[in-house]
Amino acid sequence: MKEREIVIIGAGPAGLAAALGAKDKGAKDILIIERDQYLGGILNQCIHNGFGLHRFKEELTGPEYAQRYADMVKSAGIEISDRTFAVKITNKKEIFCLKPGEMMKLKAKAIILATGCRERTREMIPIHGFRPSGVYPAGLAQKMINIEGWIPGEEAVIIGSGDIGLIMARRMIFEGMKVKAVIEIMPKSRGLRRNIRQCLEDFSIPLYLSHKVTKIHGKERVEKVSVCKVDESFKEIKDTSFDIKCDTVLVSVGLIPENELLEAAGGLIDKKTNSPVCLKPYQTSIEGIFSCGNCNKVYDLVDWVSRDSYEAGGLAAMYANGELK
Amino acid sequence: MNKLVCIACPAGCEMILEIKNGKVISVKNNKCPKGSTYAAEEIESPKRVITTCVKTDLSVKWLPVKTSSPVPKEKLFDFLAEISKIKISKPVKAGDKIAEKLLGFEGIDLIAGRTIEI
Ligand SMILES: Cc1cc2nc3c(=O)[nH]c(=O)nc-3n(C[C@H](O)[C@H](O)[C@H](O)COP(=O)(O)OP(=O)(O)OC[C@H]3O[C@@H](n4cnc5c(N)ncnc54)[C@H](O)[C@@H]3O)c2cc1C
Ligand code: SF4
Repeated sequence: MKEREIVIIGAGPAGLAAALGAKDKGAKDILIIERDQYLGGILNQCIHNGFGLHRFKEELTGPEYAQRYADMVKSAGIEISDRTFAVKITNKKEIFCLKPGEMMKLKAKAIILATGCRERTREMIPIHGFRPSGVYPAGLAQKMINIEGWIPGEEAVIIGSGDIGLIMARRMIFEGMKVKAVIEIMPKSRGLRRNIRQCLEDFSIPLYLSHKVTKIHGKERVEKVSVCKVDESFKEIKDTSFDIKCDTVLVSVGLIPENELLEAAGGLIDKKTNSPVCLKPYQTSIEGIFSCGNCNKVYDLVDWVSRDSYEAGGLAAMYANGELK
Repeated sequence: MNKLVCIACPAGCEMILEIKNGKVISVKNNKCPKGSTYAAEEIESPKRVITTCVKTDLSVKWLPVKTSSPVPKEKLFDFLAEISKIKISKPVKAGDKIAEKLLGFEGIDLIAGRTIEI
């Protein structure tokens, strides 16, 4: 088993900033493990702008922000193993990875988890109906459109008005689709006001607040959704139901930290938020295993992911050389 | 009195404007001067930066791109149609200009959002 000083799992903005933080605090031997072929994680699919205003004092798109960090990590000479999937870690800080054609085993002085988050899916919110095709988590649809160039359908309804849903409304319009409505159960949108303006109002897409989708119709393919108004306790209000014809439904109902590796290693996870239980910032319940970025808590702004993960990387370096008490 | 949300940064200030004869004569509630510039432009001739993708023959199938400056809002779809005709067959670097003067507009170029080496 190969011994390494610091192993970082995930090369999104969190992992990349953590590597730079560790290097600046004196770590000599750093390895980043990334399952994808590219660095930058979720940013590669976030082609809209709005990133980096704090960190770089200019407005960048997600890929531009990712590219800057990828370039910094490369010029710092930090080693990256791409197309490498971490399948298991242990409380002894062993790491088991799959690479095309090989199984890699490592042992680290410190591990930094930077695995990001995953999306809540339709299964996690109660909606009646069959499971026809045409229902997608919004982030998955974003990846399909922006990375694969695939158009999900002709007419869409979006459930949830968080930023990903709003950004996707405009994205689908740009790709020639119709977006019939955004349905939000809360009386207020969680999304940024600027996204409501430039992604919905610019294209006259109606936003139904205090409304919910009660049923998705269609057996093979989505045919329409039923929508109704809800009261303060989210109960359906009688006689307010109406239908919207559509062949595509995007579900944008939030993100949850991805912590399966830590959980399987015996690390404590907060069941409510799915974040690791950290008594000290970025330090999980397993000594020497650190956590940063969206797998630590879900962030809205990547600028803060970079700032905090840089700090986490520094702490991990100090731990590895015995300076962290 | 007109309300307008500033979209120049994620703070999204809710500004209050006074408009006379299609011109903004006063702006309140903006946290920085960019808000008043934006308000004047938004009322007199609204503009938007376009972010989208163009097709490539390279190892990465779609290149994320943005316009170097905002385009007139009423021409958004004309610009999108023009951009969709572009195809990339040579490696690019983030920041490269991949098309100039879109639809003949001086100063509106198309910028590559990432590097594609092969
Ligand atoms: C759809 C969406 C839109 C957003 N829009 C904005 C915005 O407009 N402005 C803004 O500032 N912020 C935005 N954010 C927030 C910001 O982009 C994220 O907070 C940030 O990208 C999180 O970085 P991360 O490195 O923690 O996670 P990620 O970017 O998700 O990176 C995690 C990386 O870990 C890798 N990985 C995971 N598990 C393993 C494993 N087992 N083995 C190997 N590799 C693994 C993944 O492949 C990925 O590359 C958005 C987020 C999302 C999800
Ligand atoms: S006024 Fe300034 S701070 Fe407020 S949203 Fe506009 S740019 Fe941001």
